[in-house]
Amino acid sequence: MRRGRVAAGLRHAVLGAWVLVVLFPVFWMVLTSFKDAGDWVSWPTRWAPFVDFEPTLLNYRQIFYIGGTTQSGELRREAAEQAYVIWKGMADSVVIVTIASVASLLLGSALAYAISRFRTGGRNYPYTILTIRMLPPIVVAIPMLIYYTSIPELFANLGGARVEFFDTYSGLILLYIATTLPYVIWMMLAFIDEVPRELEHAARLMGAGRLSTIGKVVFPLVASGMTVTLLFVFILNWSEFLLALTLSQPKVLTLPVLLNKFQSAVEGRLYGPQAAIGTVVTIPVVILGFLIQKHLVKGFSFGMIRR
Amino acid sequence: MAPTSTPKDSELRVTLRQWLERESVFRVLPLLPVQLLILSLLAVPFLLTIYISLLRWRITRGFWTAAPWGGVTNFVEALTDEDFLYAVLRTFVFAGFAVAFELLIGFGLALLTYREFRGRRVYLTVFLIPMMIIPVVVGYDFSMLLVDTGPLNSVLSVLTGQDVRIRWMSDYRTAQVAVVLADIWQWTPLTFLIFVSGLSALPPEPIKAARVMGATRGQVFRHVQLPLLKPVIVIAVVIRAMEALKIFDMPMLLTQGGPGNATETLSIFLWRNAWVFNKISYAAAASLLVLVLFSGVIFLSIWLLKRERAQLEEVRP
Amino acid sequence: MMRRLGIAGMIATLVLLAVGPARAADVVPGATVEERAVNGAKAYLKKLGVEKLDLTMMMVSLFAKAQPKYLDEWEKLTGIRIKTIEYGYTEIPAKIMADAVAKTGQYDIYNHQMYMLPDAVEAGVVIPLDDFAARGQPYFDDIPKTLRSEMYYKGKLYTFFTDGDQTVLALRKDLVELPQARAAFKAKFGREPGCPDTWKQWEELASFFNGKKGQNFYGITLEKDLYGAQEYRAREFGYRWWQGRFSSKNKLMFDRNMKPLIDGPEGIETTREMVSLTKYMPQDVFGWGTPQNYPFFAQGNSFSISTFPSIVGYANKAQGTVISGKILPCVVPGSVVKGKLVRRSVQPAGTNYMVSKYSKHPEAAYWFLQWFTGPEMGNRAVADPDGFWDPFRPSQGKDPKIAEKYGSKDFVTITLENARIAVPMIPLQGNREYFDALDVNLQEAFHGRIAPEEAMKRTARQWEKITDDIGRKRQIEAWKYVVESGAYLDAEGF
Repeated sequence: MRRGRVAAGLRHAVLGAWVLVVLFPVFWMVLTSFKDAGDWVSWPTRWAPFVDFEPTLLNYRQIFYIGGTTQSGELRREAAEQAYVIWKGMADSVVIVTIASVASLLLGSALAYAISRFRTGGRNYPYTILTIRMLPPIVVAIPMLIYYTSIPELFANLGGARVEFFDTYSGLILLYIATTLPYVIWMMLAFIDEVPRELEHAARLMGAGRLSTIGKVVFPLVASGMTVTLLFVFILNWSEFLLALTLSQPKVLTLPVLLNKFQSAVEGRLYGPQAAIGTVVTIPVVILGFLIQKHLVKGFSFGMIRR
Repeated sequence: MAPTSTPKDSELRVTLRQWLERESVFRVLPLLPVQLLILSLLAVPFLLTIYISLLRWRITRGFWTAAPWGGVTNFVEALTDEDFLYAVLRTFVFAGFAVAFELLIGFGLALLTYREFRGRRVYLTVFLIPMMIIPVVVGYDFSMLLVDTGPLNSVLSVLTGQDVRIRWMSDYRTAQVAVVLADIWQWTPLTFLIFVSGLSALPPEPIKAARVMGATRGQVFRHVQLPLLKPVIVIAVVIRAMEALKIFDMPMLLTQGGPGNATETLSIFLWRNAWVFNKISYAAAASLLVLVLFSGVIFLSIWLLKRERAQLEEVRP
Repeated sequence: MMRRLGIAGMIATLVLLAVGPARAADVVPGATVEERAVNGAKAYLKKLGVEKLDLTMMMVSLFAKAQPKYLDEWEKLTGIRIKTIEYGYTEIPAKIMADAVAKTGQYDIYNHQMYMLPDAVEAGVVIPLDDFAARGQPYFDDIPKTLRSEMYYKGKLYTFFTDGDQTVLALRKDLVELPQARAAFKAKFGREPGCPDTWKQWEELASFFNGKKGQNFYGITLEKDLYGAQEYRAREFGYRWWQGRFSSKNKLMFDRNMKPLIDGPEGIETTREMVSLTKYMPQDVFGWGTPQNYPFFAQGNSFSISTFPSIVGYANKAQGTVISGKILPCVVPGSVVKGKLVRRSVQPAGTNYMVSKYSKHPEAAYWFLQWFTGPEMGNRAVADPDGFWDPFRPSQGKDPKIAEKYGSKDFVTITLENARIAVPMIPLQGNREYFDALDVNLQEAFHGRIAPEEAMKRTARQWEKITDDIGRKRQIEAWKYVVESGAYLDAEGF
C-alpha cells in the first residue's frame, strides 16, 4: 500500500511539474493583459498585482472599445490608443472558421465513408490528398492571390454573376475547407473503418435504406470521432495566419491578422492588448475543449488500436 | 416528369431519396464536391506556381505574364544556394528535435494519465490548453517570457540563486533552443492527446494475461503495450512532422530568423525571398523543391504507417 | 527630357512652367502650398461634378491615433473623405507588393517608409507626381538635399513625406557634468567630456563613463550597473546604423558601375568601430529594438545612446524614467576624412505617402499629399504630441509648439542639424535584399564569429550577385540619379 502511495505521490509530482510548465506562459499572458505599458517587460520582473504594479483594464477597454477612447496625449502610450476593435475580427473569425470547419467535416466524412466502404478514388487517395498539406503556404499564397483576384474577370467572361473570392468570406471559407479536407478524410477514415460492416449489413437486411443505416447505425458510433476531428480542424483554421494575411483585408479580417496590428514605435509590439486578445480568444476554445474532453480522449487514437 | 402534373414535394423527396440510395451514386457523389473544390481552388494556383517557377519574375519587374522565361535556372540556383541548403538542414534539425521531445514528453505524460485516478480530469484539461492558443499569440507570449530581463530568467535566477541572464533570442545557440522550446510547449498537447487516446483504447485482456503469467510492468509495456501502440506513434510522427517542417510563426515572432541566420527555417527563407526580396520565381522553385523533399519524408512515414495498418487488417477477424 | 535634366533642372523647369505665360493658367490659385492643394481638390471634384469623394489609405498602424484628425480636417475643407486601413509597419511592404500583383485598386494612398519607394516604383504600383506638382507647386526647397533626394526615383517625383526620423546621439548630462569626472576625463583624454566629434571620441566617453553597482563613481554611488553606450545591434536594426556611420567616411557604397565599395578600408573601419563599441553595451543589446533600448536608457542604465529623436521626449516623460531633464542631445559624431570632420546621420525609417497606380482618383489623392505635407500642415503634424513625425525643415526650429513637444528649442536645433546630414538607406530597387546581406554579415561580425574584413568581403560579394540578378544596367542608371541628386552629399567614389 505504501508503495502505491509513493507512486501516486510521484505521479502527482511529475504531472504537477508539467502543469507549471504549461500554465506559466498562460499565467504570464493573463497577467500581462492587466498591465500598463511600463510593466510589460521590466526588470525586476513584476509578478504581483497591487503589490508590484497597479493592474489596469486599459487593454481590455481598448480591444472592446468600452467607454470610447481612453485618456490621451501622453507619450507613455503613444500609439496605444489604436482603436482596433476586436469585435470585427472576432465575428469574422467565428463565421469563417465555423462554416469552414463544419463544411469540411461534412464533406470529408461523406467521402471518408465512401472510401471506407467502396474504395472510392482508389486505395491511395487518402494518402495522395495529404500532399496538400506539405506545400509551405507562403509561396503558393502569391499564385493564389493572382488566381483569386482574376476570378471576377474569369467568371465575367463566362457570363455569370459577379463572383469574388479575394477579400471575401466565401474566398477564405472555401480555401479553409480545401486545406483541412485532407485531415478530415484521413481522421474520419480511421473512425469509420472501425465501425463493423456487419452492423450495417444487419440493418440493411432489416429493410433500412442506406441513408437511414448511416444515420442510425454509423453516425452514433463515429460521433465522438467527428467531434474530435471538428475540434482539430477548428484549431487549425482558427490559427491560420499566412493565407488570411495575403487573401483578406480590408473587408474581411480574422483574429490572427488583427493581432499583428498592435505595434508601436516606442513600445514595439503592444504586448498588453495582444495579451488581452490572446486571453479573450483562448477562453472559448479551452471551454470547448473541456466540454468535449471525453470524446477527445476516446477519439484521438485514429482507430489504430484494435479493440 | 410530365409537365402537366406538378409533382408534390413529397414525391420529389422520394425520387431524390431513391436516387441517393443507389450504390453507384453513393460511391461517387461524395467525391465530386471534394474533387471540384480541390481542382478549382488549389490545382490552378499550384500549376501557376510551377509555371512561375520556370520564369525569371520579380514583382519589381512588371507583371508575371510579361516575365522572361528562365527554364530550370531557378532550381539550379536554389540547389547551389548555400542559404537554401542550410535552411533545409536547419529545418530538419529543428523539426527533429521538436518532434522527438514532443513524442517523448507526450508519451511519458500519457503513461501517467491514461488510467483513471483522482484529479485526472484536471490534468487532462490543463495539458490540452497550449494547442488551443493561436500560434501568433504564443509567439508574442514567448517573446515576452524570453526577453533577457523577462520572467523566465527571473525564475531561473531564483531557482539557481544566481543572476541568470540568458540571451534567449539574441544568442546563436539559445535562439535555436528558444524556437524549439516554444514549438514543444505548443504542440506536446497534441502528441499527448494522441497517446492518451491510444493507451486508453488498448484492450485490457492481453495485459491482464501477461500480468497473470508473471510479467513485470516493464515487460508488459515493452512486449505488449508498445507493439500495440506502434501505429498510433507513427500517426503522431506524421502529423507533427508535417506541421513542424513548415515551422514559421515561432522563429518569425521570436527572432525573425536571427541572430544572423541562426533560426532561418525554410518557411522563413521562402518568406524572405518572396515577400522581402520580391524574387517570386526563385521562391516558387525553392518551394517546389521543398515539396518534393517533404513529401519524400512524409510518404516514407506513411509507407511505414500503411505497413502497420496492413498488419492490423490481417489480424482483424 | 526631364530625365536628362536631373532634379535641379526639373525644379527650374517647374519654376519656368509656373511663371511661363503659356502654362500659367494651369497653376492652381492659392497663396500657400496648402491653399493650392485645397483649391486643386475642390476644382477636381467640380470637374467630376460631385460634392463628395471617398479615398482609402493604407496606413501604418502607429499613426492610428494621430492621423485621423487631419483626415477629418481635410474632409471638412474639400469633401474628400479618406478612410484608413491600418497595418503593422512590418506588414505593409508585403501588402504594397501584393497590391502590385493583385491590382485591386483598393487603396489610393500608401503610407510607409522612404526606403520602400524604389521597389514600389519598379513594381509599377505607384505613379509619378510631377504633372500634379507642376500645377500644385508644392514647396520643398528648404528640405535638406539628402532627404529631398529620397522623394525622387530616377529623376521623377513619387512621394511626399513629413517626417525626419534621423538618428541622434544622447548622453547623460548629469554624469558629464560631475566635476570630478570632468577633471579625470580631461586628465586622461586632454579635453572636456561632452558631445563627441568623432566615433572614436564616443568610444572614449563610453570607456570612461561606466561602472559597477555600488561603485563610487567620481563622487556619486552607482545604484546599478552603468553601461557606457547603447546602439542598435539586433537583426533588422544594426545595418541601418551602419549606413550612417559608413557615410561619415565620406564614401559611397557603390561606384559608378555598381561595384561595392564597402569592402575597402572605410567599410572595414566602420564595422570595426561598431564591433569595438559593443563591449561597452549590455550584452542583451543583440536582441534589442527600440522597445527595449528606450526604457533601458530611461531607467538610467547607460551613459549614452544612438537612436531616434523621440528618445528625448520618452526619457523625459515616460513612466519609470529616472533621467528626466538629465539628457544631453548631440549632433551625431563623424569621422575625420582628409583632415576634415564629416558627420553623417542616417534616416532609418521616415514616414512617407505615395499614390497608387490603381487609384481611380490619383489627382484627389495627390492633393491630400500636398496639403498634409506642406510647410504649414507639416509643422502642425510634427508638433503633434500624438504623432511621431520628427522635424526636418529649418522653419520647424522656430516653431514654439515643436520645441514644446521635444522639451527644448536646442534639441530641435540639433535634430535639424542631424536632418541636414541624414543620408538615405540605399535607395535602389531590391534594397531590402542588399540590406539583408549586410545585416546577416554584420550580425556575424558583432557576435565575433567572423572578422570585420570577412564580413565586408562577403557582403560585397553578395551585393555583386544581387546587382547582377536585378540587372546591372538598371541599377547603374538608378544609382547615377541617386548620387547626382546629392543623396550622399559630397561622398567620394563615383
